[in-house]
Amino acid sequence: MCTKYFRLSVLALGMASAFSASAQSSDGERLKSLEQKFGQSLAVIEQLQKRIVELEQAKSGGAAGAVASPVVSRVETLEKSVAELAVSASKGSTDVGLPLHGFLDAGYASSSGTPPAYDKSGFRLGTFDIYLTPQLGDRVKGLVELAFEYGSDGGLGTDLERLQLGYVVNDNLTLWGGRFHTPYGYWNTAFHHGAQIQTSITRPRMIAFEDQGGILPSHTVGAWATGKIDTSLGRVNYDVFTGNSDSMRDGTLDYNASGFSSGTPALGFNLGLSPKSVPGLTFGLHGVTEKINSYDASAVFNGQSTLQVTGAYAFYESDNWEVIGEYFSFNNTDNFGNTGSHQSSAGFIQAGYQLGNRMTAFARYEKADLNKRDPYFSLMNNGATNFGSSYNQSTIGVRYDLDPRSALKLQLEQITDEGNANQTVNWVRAQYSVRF
Amino acid sequence: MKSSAQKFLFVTTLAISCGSWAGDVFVIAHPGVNVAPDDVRDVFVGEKQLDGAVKLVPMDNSAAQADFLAKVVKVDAAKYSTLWAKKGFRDGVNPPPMRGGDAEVISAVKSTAGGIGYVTKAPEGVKVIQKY
Repeated sequence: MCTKYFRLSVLALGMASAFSASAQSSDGERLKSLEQKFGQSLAVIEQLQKRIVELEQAKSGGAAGAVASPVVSRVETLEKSVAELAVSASKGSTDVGLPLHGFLDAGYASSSGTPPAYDKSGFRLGTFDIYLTPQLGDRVKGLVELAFEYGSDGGLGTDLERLQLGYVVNDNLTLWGGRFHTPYGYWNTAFHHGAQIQTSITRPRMIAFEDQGGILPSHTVGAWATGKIDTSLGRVNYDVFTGNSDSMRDGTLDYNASGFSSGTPALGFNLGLSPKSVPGLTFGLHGVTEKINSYDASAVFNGQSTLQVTGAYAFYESDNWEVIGEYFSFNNTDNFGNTGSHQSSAGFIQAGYQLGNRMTAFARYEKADLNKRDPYFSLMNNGATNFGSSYNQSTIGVRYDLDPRSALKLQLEQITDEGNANQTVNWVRAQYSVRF
Repeated sequence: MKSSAQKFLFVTTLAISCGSWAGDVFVIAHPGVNVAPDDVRDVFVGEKQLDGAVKLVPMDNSAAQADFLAKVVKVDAAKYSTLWAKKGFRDGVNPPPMRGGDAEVISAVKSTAGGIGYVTKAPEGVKVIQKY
């Protein structure tokens, strides 16, 4: 088909040229004059060519060797200059300045029943999150993230989400220092405040941010080694980190930006395998341990627990599917009241299926079975919040991508929360999110 | 006359379009770069950042991106954009800059230590890593 049309195009081009020639045939005399001038010009060119040949012949002979040396030297100097300019130009072309990216979202939520104190019905501003990814050298890089968000009390919170300085040792190892998203499971580092890249509107509550009901530290100030190793089975991804142990202040985890309060560091790991045999799948194990001091609303010390979490996670992504599952097993020790060890568990699974090019339907089930006798959880319930309570939640929703950078989402939830008098509360949420 | 010109334009556009559907993609690199063909995808999704001591500088080509993504990265442009949004957010890696065509890519690859890009025709003066 292409050959046929190509021939037709050539034919059309010929016809167009013929039309053009026909239009000019009446200017015969002018053409004749031009031909004469062209002939004269050719004669001049021939004379010049002859003169050049004569000059070159006169220059050749004994003088050639004497002239060659300075010419070669000048050429070499010029080559060196060009090489230097190329190096200089290459440095300029890799300098991408200070790339700025970010996320914005706004939405609406409405509940039936009595929602917990930290979640209200109505229109809401989401998060304005900006992050910078400066490339400070061939191996040195930075990541700075600022988040602005309104809390349920209407107050504007500003948070230096991340302040990381990294060094790329090689393709298998990158070292980071600073404040980073605690690397457990998949969700916390993959999405975090990136509402637009997250399929659903909300995070699973068990991995909510610390000030929104989270029972796990989602930020750490410390050092983090991350990388991957290719093996015959597939790619092994790993994270190992250490940092300041959190404190609990009036029921909310605090990542302690300026040193330990319990005297011991937090430690954690995340180890995953992306098998060659199942492209798109990653599964692995994770763990976090730290000693956490608790303080009441008056900053009076009221407890210390050793948080010990281990678990597993899996993530699968294909052209149409996105499946994420995470499981956490707690074995916390009460170091203050000496009530011993307490076991709890929490987990979620979310599946999303892309319908056509823009629509994705998703569903999630999450359940937390948290031991009320564990002071780590009981101290999170301070009367104003019911963080740290057992719950189960079912979520369904749809996401519509207006374009690759913006999405509309609608989500229905049903949550039964022990900390909210075991009430079942239904939520409808809508969100418009963009990234830039 | 007008009709002939319209047909000519249509047929020419179609002929050019047919050519670009089945376009070859040549992955090219600065002479000092030694990247294996199997690693090209990793370079363009931010998983491979170094070639020995040399920082790799991948660059996209607006004239050949669709073919390159389909043949090498195995995603469409929307998923490629999302993939980089996630990668940049998690790992602080910046996506390849977009160049305006073969000439711009060739010029940038030649003058950039660690430069690696892709073009629609086999060029001279740069290393061809793989033809797709």
